[in-house]
Amino acid sequence: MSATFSSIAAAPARLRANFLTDGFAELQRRQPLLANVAFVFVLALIPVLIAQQIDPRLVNGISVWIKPAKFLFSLALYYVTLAWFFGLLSPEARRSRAARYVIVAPIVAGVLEMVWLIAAAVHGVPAHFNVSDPIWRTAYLMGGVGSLVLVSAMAVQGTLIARDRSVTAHPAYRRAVVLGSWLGAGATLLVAGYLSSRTGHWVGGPHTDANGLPVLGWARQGGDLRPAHFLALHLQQLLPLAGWLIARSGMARPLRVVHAVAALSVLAVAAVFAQALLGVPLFG
Amino acid sequence: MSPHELFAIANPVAAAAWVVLILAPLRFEWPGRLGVAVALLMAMTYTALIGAYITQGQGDFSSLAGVARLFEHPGLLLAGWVHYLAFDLLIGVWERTEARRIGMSQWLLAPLLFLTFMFGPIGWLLFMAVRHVRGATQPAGAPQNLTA
Repeated sequence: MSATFSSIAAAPARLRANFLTDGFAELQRRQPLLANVAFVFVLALIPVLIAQQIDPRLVNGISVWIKPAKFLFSLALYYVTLAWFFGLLSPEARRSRAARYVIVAPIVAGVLEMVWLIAAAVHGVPAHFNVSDPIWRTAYLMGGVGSLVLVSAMAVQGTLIARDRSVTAHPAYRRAVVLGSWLGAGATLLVAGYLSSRTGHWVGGPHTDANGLPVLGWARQGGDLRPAHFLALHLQQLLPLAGWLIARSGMARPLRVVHAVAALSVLAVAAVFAQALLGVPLFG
Repeated sequence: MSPHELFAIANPVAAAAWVVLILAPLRFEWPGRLGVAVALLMAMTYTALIGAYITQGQGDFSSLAGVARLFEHPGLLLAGWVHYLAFDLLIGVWERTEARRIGMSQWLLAPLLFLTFMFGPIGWLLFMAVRHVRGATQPAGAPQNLTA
């Protein structure tokens, strides 16, 4: 398999002038382990999506393979994001124990999460909220611990970037990355923590995902706590994206604008969360 | 998609890969990589089949009757078949790579590959025998590799 990849790398430059392959090469340069694990997770989507086509079994009204697919995709995106932000760190920071934690902990936790989710799919049972017998109850508990480890990595990375004295990136971008990481971790802990205290992600409405939104599957009748969870998690990408745009625009007081965007995004998470608690779907 | 429909896709895809492996001039490297890519796809399909159907299988690997029971399920039977498709293809890729390495003529390799395609281990055994005989009759200095 590595022969195939290295032969892609050896291809003439005009073939490589491709956004995806150049982007991935840069990602590998910044943090090879996270980049390559992300790639494997994306490839793992292929058997999962094939399984979805052939397996008729449902959980909560949708294919048992949807959850593994969602997690593979979002874990891959998480690893890509963590890897990308390594580009901000000085060589010393990259060699620190905290940096090693940011690389290794989410990979180990993510792999274990996937083992659990895939095992549940193979058995045709839910993973989250499954307390039907001691084994699945324990697995769900362990999954929760794993999620804490996963989320802690972005908090640690945010701290590394905040403390590193040799960051040369635009200050507004740097601030957005730090805030995105910290707020993402904090908001996720709150939303997901609350979510795990319930018996499912619905608030009122029918307890099924069968008629949910396309792809995401969020409830169209009754409240659903997942949009808030989604938004909280993706603050890690959304704030830095905003920060990058703000930095590029050359606008005045870019740091203030970043802070304003961060505050607004936290309000947005709170709003979507409140909407769910009121039993109102995101889109009817 | 049912196992029967998936079979109708998997078989021609594997056959197409074999056609390329057998007919593409030996000097090209890409047919081997194509073979590996198709084998990867087959392996992923096998994984999906096991994920989807393993909990519905009756039987086991401890006796022939146990295996027969396992294969009564069409999804698991297809998994077994796709397993063959994947691994036989990898053997074919190896034979072609090996043939390139030792300078075997494509006229000699092609029927061996064809037999590996049709009869798996028989084709491979014949390839190993031919490789051995060739190795023993090459002039000194030619590549010799009598072990895998």
